[in-house]
Amino acid sequence: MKQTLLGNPLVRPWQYHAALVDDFHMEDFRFSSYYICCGTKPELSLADRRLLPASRRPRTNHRSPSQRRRRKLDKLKTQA
Amino acid sequence: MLPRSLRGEIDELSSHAVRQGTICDHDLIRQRYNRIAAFIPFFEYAFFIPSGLRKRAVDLLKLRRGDRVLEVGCGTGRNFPFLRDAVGPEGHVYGVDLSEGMLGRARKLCHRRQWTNFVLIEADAADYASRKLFDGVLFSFSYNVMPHHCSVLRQVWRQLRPGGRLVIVDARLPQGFWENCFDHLPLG
Repeated sequence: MKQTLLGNPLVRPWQYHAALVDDFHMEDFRFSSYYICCGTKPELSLADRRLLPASRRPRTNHRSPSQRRRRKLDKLKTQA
Repeated sequence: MLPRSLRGEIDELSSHAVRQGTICDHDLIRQRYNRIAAFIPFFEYAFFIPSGLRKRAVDLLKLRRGDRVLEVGCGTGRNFPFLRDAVGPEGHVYGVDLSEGMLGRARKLCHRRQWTNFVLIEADAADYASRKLFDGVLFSFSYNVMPHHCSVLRQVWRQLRPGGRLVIVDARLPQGFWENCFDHLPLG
């Protein structure tokens, strides 16, 4: 096992951490040998968000493929 | 895509396997840290840990007076003075560690400074459950040394209140050349 006294350097906790929190933030120290990563737990979990009616769901940048296609077409039309 | 119930079951099984298997040998880890407990202050200098790093990590928890905070792998209590300053005498600091040697030193520190709002628990953080939710959780040089870190993170996440802060401080190989060298070492 790749293990040192300071632990396994191949573990990258920021990857898990960033996926969990809303406002992920990371700071590096001493030539990036040390780091602090932090974030706030969202008020609603992902499962809770799915249960909310669409009108009350937090706005995200996610668009369905059909929406994306329509936006692309609209853009082309305006350019033409 | 697997159904959610099945995914949960697989998660549970894999975390159980990691905890029970040889990968996560509690006795081995406990013995190792019991042995090095006396040298922890020395490591601080040997590894050139930046002097303001611990204080900065506690500042990022954004704790207020009276808050409840959990330190996972608290060791000998190197962060306790900063945590105590942040939550004040009316707040509560919980420290979980697997090594009784480390916790013994942390207890001595609390006794010497007459801090009565510290609760030190000798347990695997993946099994520890508090009755109330925490306002902040801190991993300070402990996340990378836990072989079952995903189980620990999952358990701690459940115990953090919505709006609470999670802070991880740790060491890593500087990116680039050294990281590549380590990746190619013929180990495990």
